[in-house]
Amino acid sequence: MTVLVRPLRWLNQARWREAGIALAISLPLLAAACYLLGKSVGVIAALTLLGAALVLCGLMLHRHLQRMDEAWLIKRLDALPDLENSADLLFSQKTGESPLVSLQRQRIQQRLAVLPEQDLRRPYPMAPIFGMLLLSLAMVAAVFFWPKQQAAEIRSTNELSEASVRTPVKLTEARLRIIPPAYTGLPVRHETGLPAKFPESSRIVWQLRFAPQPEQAHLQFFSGRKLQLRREGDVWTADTVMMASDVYRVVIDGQAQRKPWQRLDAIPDQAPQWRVSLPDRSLSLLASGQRTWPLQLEAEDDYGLAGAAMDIQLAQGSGENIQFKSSSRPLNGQGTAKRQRYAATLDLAALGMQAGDDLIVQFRVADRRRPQANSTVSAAYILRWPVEDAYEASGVEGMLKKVMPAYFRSQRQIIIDTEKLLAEKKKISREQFEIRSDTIGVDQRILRLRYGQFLGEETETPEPPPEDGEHSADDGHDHGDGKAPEKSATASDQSILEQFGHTHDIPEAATLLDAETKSLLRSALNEMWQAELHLRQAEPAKALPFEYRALAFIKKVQQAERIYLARVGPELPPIDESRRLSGDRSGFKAPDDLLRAAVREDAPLLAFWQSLDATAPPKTADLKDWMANHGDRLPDALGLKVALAEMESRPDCRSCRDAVKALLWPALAKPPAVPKARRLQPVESPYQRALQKERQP
Amino acid sequence: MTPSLLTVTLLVLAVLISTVLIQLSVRRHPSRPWRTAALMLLSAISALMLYFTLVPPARQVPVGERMVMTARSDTVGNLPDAQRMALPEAPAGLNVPRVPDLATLLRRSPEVGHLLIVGDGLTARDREAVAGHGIRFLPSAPPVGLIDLWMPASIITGHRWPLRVRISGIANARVELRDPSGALVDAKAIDASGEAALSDIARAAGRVNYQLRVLDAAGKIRESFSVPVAVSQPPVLKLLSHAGGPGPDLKALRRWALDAGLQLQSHIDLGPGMAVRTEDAAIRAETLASQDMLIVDERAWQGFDAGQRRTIREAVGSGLGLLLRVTGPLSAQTAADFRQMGLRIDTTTLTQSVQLAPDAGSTEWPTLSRQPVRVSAADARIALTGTQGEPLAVWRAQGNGRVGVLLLSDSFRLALAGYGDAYSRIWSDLVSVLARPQAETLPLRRGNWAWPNERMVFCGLQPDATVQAGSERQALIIETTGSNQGCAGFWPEAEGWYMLNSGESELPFFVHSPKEGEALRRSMTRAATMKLVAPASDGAMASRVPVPGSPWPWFIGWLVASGLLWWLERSRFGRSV
Repeated sequence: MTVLVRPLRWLNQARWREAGIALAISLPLLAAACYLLGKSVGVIAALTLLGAALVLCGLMLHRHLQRMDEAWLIKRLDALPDLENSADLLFSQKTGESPLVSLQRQRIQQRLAVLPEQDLRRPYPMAPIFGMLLLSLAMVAAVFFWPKQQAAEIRSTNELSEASVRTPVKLTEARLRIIPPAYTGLPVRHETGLPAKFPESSRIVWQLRFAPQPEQAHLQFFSGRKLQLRREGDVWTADTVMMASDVYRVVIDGQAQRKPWQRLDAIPDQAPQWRVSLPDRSLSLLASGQRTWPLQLEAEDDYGLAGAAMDIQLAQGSGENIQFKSSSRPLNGQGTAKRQRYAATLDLAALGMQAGDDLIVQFRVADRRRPQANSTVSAAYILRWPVEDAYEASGVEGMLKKVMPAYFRSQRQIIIDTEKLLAEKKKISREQFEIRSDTIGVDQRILRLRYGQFLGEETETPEPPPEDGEHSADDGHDHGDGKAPEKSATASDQSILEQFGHTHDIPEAATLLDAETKSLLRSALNEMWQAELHLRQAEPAKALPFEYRALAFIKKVQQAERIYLARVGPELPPIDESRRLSGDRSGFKAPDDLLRAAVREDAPLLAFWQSLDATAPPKTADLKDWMANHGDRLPDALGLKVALAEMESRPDCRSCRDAVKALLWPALAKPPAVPKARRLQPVESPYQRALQKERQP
Repeated sequence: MTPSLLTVTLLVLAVLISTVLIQLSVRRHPSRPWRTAALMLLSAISALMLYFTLVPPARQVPVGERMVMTARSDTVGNLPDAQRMALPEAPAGLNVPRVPDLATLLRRSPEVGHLLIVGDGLTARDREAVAGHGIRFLPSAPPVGLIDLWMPASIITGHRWPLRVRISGIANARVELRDPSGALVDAKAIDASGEAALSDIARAAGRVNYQLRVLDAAGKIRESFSVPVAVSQPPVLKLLSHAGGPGPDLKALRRWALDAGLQLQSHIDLGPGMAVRTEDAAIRAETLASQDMLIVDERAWQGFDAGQRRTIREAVGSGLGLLLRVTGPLSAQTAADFRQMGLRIDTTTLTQSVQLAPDAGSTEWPTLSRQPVRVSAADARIALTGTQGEPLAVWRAQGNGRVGVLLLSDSFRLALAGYGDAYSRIWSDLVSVLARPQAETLPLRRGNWAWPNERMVFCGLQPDATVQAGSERQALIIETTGSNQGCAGFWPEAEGWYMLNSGESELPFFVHSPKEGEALRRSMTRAATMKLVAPASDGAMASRVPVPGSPWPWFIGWLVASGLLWWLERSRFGRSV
């Protein structure tokens, strides 16, 4: 039967080929499926699928191979023309068969022996194999390149199913490390819990623990700032430098905790406090024989003083010819860093002080705050060397003064400034030049208005002088008069007087000047007007001649004999002489009653506060406007903002409204007492009437 | 017609009808006379028995006593021997039968004539059930903490409101009043009787909760209680001012009146035919009828003619308030006019400088001056005094109105010196006293404090009265007859502010949290129970009291009688052949 060895080998080869084909087709698909499953569900699932698929494939292959038996081989051999369709004879050998059959078998066996090697293997079906391969690759690529978000969704749905079982993430421990700025000298502090108070500009390090671990967490500040928490082992940390107070809450996995906002209160660095113990008054007069001026200052600060200096100004001369000498010298202090005592003694002779001079001293104390130090300036202390005959009383109409009042920038100073500006014209930019020219123009205007008062001109409230380097407290004119009226409550009476008081014009002042002086002054004013015009137009060169002429006129005025200043007296309307004592009352008209109820400044606040009692959601727009203008009246504006936000986000939260009410309460003014009439008791009325009749005689 | 009378009537009717029917049947079926008589007698007996079954006659039993256990009754020792019953407030663990309330107990045991209340006392639920019973009370240990608190029912914008508290059981206690923002307003130590008085000035109209804190000697907070303050804005008053000339006092007065929201009409004489006046400031009967108060100075009064003065007098009689500001010497005519209204004004010599007592704090107010006149009347009342007790404002009732004289001529100095709020309070008090009475019917509340699920009673209600809590509105069922007409009960369910709306008027009220004011509640219960303590009434004083008898014997009697009647009716016994 050796002759059958070869066909059987062919059969075996064909069977291996089938297995190979099955593997080539199924393997890529299987691998892709495993990858997909491993990526989406897990490795275990993928391995399970692999195992199951392999078993299934094996079974299918086995069945397929079972069909490739002898009959299949015979069919294939019969297809060969040499074997004359008698291949089955090779595999059946029955006794008692006809000799013809035996003969034929022999023939076939001989032929088979010489038959060349046959390949019964099916060729690899390239189309399905490549198709499957492509499909698998496509699957793998799809899984690999699937958009992240989708992947996240898969994950989150996965998580959701887990989250429904597991407890929500909770903050289990909160520690804050507060590192105050170095200049404060305060030690690093640890706080447990989320709220804290800290010196301003402190670095704050959060160390939070959660259970179970969240995916991500951050700190959401009320000001809109977001601070991401980093995970380091079990601890989530974040750090930042807090410049001002704020409130925040912890947001875990995008879910804000339903806890109230946590406060971070910055304790501001207070400016240094000063107390001058010597001199004990702001204006001291030089005693006879006094050669030195002892000065003493005590200063205090919450974290430490950086240094103190003393500004000294010597004002010499009188009238238009006042000259200033400014100098500054540091002070050496004694005591602790927080509390220092400074002493200095000024040698008057060394400063060059003479009779009629004023020595003005101001102290400046700074603390160690970074980046911007708090600095306070003390009040000015004046040492005056009095001149005996500076003032002279007069028994007549007004007060008599020999010299012009010199509390504003002099015309000479304006000329000096203008010339200086012209000299520096090439060094400075055009814009700066214009600004400085305009500043000089403002000074010229103030001066013109002051002189104008003597002519009984309208008094305008001068503009506040611009604050720049050229124009400081020591430039010789009075700042107090130039300042816009302060809007504080205490000063309101004064400002009302300024606003409504009758400072229209002072005819007496004009009448007190003689005609010559008056015309001189008017000429001076005209020149000043022209000078101001050109200065304001940034043409100082053109203004200069007018300035010179104005100065010349003023000099002439000063040489004129006397100027009277008016006393403030009643300002009655002029008497109509034609009707005087005539008894004619025609044309008189009773004035209207002008008294009106005062407007309460806190009206929007009050209306809002009262609307909180109603059921309707309160309207916060008016209140926010009010807060923008009067926020400093609220002791806790930040807290109120937070409470308002909280209230708006939860309209039916009663306690939120109560919190807002409590925060607004301190800002509510005490209203005037309102009378309430007694109640009518109608039952008593007849009795009362009877009693009344009884009493009447 | 009472049920028993109805029953009697029906039964008598039935007996009469049956008698008639028996007579009719006797005519048809002649029988012996005794049978007829027996039938009639038996039906009468049957009716009688039925009556007593339905309305059993009372029987006399010995008077019983019950010991009623209330809250904290376990802390009372040495209890006498008596049958005990426990109310729902009684502590758990007492081995005593419980009843849902006292009325149930009294209904179940009608023979009870005396009650011995043990513990904290009877709550409002049980207090009305005990009328006519003898009550004794064995109280538990007195409550410790805040036991009494009084504040005015109505607090007006800008006025100082007082709060009186009584603390018991804490030695050297201090009480603190804190405003809604938590700032300290007032703090006092309690006096020997455990009382302290605190106060604050009411701000804007609205509802706020102050906090009252009771601190012990060591400064530890022992108790905290919400003080509900509902500040109200009173109805606007109409004020008419007539002045003989402008002046600082008038200016300050007019400024206050406008700023306080009063409707001010004013007339200031400037000279002959010349005056600063508002449109409706003339002295006419109809104008005065619409004003609540008239303030004049003596110069303006002097300028009125006789007709105007009579008009004013008549207006005062019908309710107008009149205040004369004396700023200078009075004419004889003016004095005579006021004497006609019952006030005698005489010029005397007096110290002219006066000082007013500051209402709070240690600040000293500026010295003011008064006119050297003395105002006297038989029924004069003083509205304003100086520190020496000198009267500065005197008034008396004249008809429905009031007439007063103010001797202070420069009260404006107060406003000028920065005591504007004090100035406004002084004038507000003066106007409040003198102004025309207002016929408003405000709802009233009985009792000051409320807790959830306890009855509150409001009276003086309009038929449409509702209580509003948040956005919910609940109508009140108002008593229409009896002594409590116009009253209604309300049982709040939650703590917080409520608003009672009745007609045009509103009454906000606060319901405290059950955790707050435990001592106060106990003290109120004890006080109310103490008031109930009384010897038994006449009925209960007797050794025996009637109780409803049992109907069963009478029922059996009725059954027997009816049975006999039925048998006799059916039998041939006694019928004539």
